[in-house]
Amino acid sequence: MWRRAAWRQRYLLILALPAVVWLLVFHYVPILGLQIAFKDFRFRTGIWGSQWSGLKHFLQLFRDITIVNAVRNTFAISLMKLVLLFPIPIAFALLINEIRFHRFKRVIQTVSYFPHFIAYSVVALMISILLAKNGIVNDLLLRLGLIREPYLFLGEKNAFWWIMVVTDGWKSTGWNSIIYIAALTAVPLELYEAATIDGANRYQKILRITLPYIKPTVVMLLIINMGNIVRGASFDMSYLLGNPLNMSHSEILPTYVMRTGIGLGRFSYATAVGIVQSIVSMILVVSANALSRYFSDEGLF
Amino acid sequence: MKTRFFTSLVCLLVLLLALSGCTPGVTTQQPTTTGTTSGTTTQGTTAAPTTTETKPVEPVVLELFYDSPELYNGWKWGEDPVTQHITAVSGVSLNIRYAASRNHEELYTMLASGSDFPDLLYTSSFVPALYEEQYAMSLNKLADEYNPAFYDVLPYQYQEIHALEDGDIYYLNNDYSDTKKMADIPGGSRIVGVFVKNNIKWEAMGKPPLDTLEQVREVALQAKNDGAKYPVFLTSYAFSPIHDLNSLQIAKSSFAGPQFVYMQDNGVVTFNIKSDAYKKGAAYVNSLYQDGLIQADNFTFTSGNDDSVRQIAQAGDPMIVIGHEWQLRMYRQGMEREGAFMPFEPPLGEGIKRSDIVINDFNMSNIGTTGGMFVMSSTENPKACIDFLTTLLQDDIQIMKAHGREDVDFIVDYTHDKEHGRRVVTDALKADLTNMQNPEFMRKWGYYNGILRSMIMLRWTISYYNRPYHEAYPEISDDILTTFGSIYGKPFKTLNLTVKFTDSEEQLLYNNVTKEWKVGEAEMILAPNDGAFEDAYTRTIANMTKVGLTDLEKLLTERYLYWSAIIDE
Repeated sequence: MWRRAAWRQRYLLILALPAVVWLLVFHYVPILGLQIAFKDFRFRTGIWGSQWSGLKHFLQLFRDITIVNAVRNTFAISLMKLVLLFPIPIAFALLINEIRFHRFKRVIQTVSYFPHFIAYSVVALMISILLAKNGIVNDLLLRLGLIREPYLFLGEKNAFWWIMVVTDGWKSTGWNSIIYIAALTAVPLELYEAATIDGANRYQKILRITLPYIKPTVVMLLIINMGNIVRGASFDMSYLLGNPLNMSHSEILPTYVMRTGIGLGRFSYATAVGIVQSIVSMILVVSANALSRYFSDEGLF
Repeated sequence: MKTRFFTSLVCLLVLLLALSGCTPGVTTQQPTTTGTTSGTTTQGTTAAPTTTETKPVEPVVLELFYDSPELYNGWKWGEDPVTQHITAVSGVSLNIRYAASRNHEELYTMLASGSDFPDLLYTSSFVPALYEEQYAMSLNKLADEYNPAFYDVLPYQYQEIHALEDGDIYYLNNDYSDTKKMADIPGGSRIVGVFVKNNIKWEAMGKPPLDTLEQVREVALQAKNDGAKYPVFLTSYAFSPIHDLNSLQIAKSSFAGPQFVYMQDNGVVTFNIKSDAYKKGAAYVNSLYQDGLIQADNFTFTSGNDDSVRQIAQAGDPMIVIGHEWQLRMYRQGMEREGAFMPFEPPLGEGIKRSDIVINDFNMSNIGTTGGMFVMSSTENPKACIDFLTTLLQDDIQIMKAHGREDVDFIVDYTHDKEHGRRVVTDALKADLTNMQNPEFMRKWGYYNGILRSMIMLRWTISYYNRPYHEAYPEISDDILTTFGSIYGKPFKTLNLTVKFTDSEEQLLYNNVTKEWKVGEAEMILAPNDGAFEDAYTRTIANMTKVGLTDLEKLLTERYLYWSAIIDE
């Protein structure tokens, strides 16, 4: 029976085939390589020929005090992004949705996506120029009388997390709002008409109709973003903007792995860090999903 | 039907593209096949006599993987007189492939993939996998089989120092100090990291004294009052606290600090950050910052981007530089005449006499402990590889790589040093040095090519006849030069060797400790007041201790005792 169904949908299956093969080859097959976290990986002998070392690299990881800073910074930046940035694309989508002039709406939407396509390395360069002591931001703040002398943004460790959050917000708001805008288009217009007849104002319509309707989408994305907490901080920004002055706040887990793992050829150790990251992400996703189901009956799985 | 057929075709194409893999993201440069020239290879009066013989050689192109990004965009092997001469005598041209970053991921990917190996590999990093897993060949075995003349040019004690457990050497380090030859160098060895003044401004000020640190401060303040934005410039070595050219390592010398980053007392090795002189030197540099003479943006330099330092160097109109003035010259190339920035004698700290000062002799005490040039096991031209390395080790080639050709790039001037003479760059080269940009300059002169120098540059040749900017000392008499010579310390190879690691865990411990030092140094220099400086200093040592400073010093002490028994210092 399934053969008949498969034959009927053969073109759809062929269409899906490249993605499935790509997923298998680049995401599932490499899982076999995770075993090097439990081995002393040697290039010559490869993944299968290297000697088993048990939990040696995991014990090294948990004994390494220099990782504490990296973990703190990763969680701090990711949580700040989650709390501060997660609602912004939703609000942006709601605002876009309220625009009646369609041409203007399209222009705003398109322009809002542009930052997403700028490479992080270019963004880091822009930030270093804008935030320099003789940069435009300091110039503006001085002229407005908000500061008396130029502020060394990139040298101030307490400012680094905010720089990461604001930059990411600017870069990702437009792109992340796409899915909410798509969800909003699915809201039946009759509901808004009925609400208008009942005397609801715009704010009440958003609160009572729009938001409940996109709630499943919001919950789904929130659960997915919980999983990104451990890897959510941007490697490129941290690597390119990190300097001796802000290093205590700029080193995150990916840059830590680069410095202590890959940069020294300690591939087994780097893999062990990656596995721990993935386990933590999975725990966060499953927990968030369970909590969501418990409180709201919505969940990813 | 047609639509479905084309849809299926498109999907199959996408599938094929997805599985086709990516080509390596490295830049590859083919050598230029220009005619060879015969550069002058005459020796100085006291140079060791190894010379290359010009004989018919089979031309061969070897592939070199250079484990660092391309420094000089557009330069290729064979485009300049020096590489043309090396090709003429050895028959070897290099096809150089550069890494895209300094993180070694391409090197490790290459090792892991087991394919696409070059004939030669240069890396300055500690990569034990290269020899532990037989990716690199034993140079002893190559020499025994193909070219025993290799042993005639191998530097003094190189075999003892760099041989591995099996007794063979696997790499030629690019930072080696051959003390037998250093003893013969005319004019003595030269300091590299010093205080440097803007000579043009200094003359305009009426040549105020710069004998003490306080006088240096006054001159910098005067320059600031005259309109200089950032009168005191710290070169990018400010970010390498263990480097001889680091600003605080230089400043500590003015307080008669220990010569070297690692100090030993009765066989116990510690880091010189714990010395009183280092702290006083750091406090002095911090006081310059508190006076508004140092720009904090100096420290937003990152490992891959020195634009902030370059901007400060170009916009800042420096009066005083604490560091290596070649870097300032590189940043400000073409902005002023040659000789505008010149080093001066180390200014004295309070209560210090000149005879107390010991300057770190960069050229003699540096030994280079990790990495170098390897011959890969997969090479199909092992003879050509060992012949090429032997050629590079010849004295005349070493001099040419460092200084160029005698009578073309430099002449020997006996005005100040009547016995040995002193190398002086020719007027034609000097003019181009000021006005030409790299790599155009490098193509014409083959001079000061950083890539070429990193291919096994023995330190004695850098000191040989002195470096060009040191020859521009018209106002310094021979008496003072004698004084200069007397304040040099002896080479400290043994201490340098203590950081010759045997595994990546030791390297990691070292990296963790020096990382805390790097962070702490920035906090010390940029402390807003004396109390904050004290806190920063104490905190730096505490943080270094937390990540393993004590264990590291214990390890270095064990190594010191080991090497002391072997090294002839």
